[in-house]
Amino acid sequence: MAKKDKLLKKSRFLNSVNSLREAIASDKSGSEKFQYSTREGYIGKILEIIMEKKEKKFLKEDLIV
Amino acid sequence: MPVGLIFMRWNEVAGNEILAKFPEDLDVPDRTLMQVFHTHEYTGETGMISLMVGTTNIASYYTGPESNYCVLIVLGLGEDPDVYESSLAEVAQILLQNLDNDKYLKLIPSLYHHIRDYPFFNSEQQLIYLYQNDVKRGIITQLRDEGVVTKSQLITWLRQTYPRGFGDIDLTLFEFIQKDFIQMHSVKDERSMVIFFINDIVMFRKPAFNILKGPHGKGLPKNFEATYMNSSNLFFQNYNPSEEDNLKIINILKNPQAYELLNLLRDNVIKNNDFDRLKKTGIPDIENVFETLLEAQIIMKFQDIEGTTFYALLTDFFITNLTPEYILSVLQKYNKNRTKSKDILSKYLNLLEEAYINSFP
Repeated sequence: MAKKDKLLKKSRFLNSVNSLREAIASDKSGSEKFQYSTREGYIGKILEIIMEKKEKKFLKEDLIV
Repeated sequence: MPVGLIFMRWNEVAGNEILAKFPEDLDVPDRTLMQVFHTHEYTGETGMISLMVGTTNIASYYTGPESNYCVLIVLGLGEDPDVYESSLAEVAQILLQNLDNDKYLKLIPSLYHHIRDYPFFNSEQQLIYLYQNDVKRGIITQLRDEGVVTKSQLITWLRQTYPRGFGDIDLTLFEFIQKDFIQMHSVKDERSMVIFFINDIVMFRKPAFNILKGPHGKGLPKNFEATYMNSSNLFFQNYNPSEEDNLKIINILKNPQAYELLNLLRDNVIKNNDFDRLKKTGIPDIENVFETLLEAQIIMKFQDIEGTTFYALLTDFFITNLTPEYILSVLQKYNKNRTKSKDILSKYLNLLEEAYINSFP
């Protein structure tokens, strides 16, 4: 499997997109608690990653959990 | 590179009226300026035109028949006028907002420099410059909360929020589409085009890691190393990103001299002995820029017993665009409350998914 596909399979964001999509399609309100419910939380996570990585460049892959 | 800028308006009695130009000795024949105005009049629309008059290469932005102003730049032969469109539009908006008491006059030199420099901005500078614009920042802030709006809803909101005007919304939306912040699509049962927010701008201070890993190797005397590193640790122990702080930094770094200095400081500690050299290589206002960076706690300074001053980067700046992953909570609420149609929500999820996947190499 291509490296990108492997990476994206792990993506909690994409899994959440699919869950929400299913909820919408089946007329359910959906109760999933997403990884980031606020923008502040999202930014806090990125800052945390950057502080851990130090001089190494921040990559979008770092946010994939 | 633009040779000069002219700000003018059309007067029914006097014809062309030049309100300001930079440099002062810029000489463009009256008949050329009339030709510019007549070309704008022919289209009757707000927007940019470009034309060659003899060997004079001109790009001009018209504010529309209601206000009747024009911002025109004279370009070098062979220069592409299209790269100046968004900055010309922005400058026109700034000038219109500063007509009272001729406030625009003292802005003219810096506005010319902005138009001149903008096409050479790297992606980081472009994000900085976009975010310092009140209207563009306002739209992004609105989209962070709403996720998806129709174009007519956005225009209604803009009219309420910016009663003095908000510039050319189509040009702004086009820029946002080009920079991948949004997509616009027609959706069933919606009369207006729908705007979907697919990339946010994220920014905050971060430690100057490149200097911290070895300050002495970057030019800081050994006896200052411990103080420097402790200052950085202390700053970030108490640091919480805020919009107010981000805007303070953005408004500093939008100045190309400040940005250039930041880039130099990312790699090296700078001494006051370097000032004369740096003035000649693109930072003529270096003393003032350093003062501004000091006040904002972007840099700190040290002085040795011989009187040499060392400037070290205390806080670097991180700015990038990223998928707004938090927006799923907003969409979930819309779904729960049935405040947006299934078509819109499904479309949005598809666009987010596609934008997210495509953002990885």
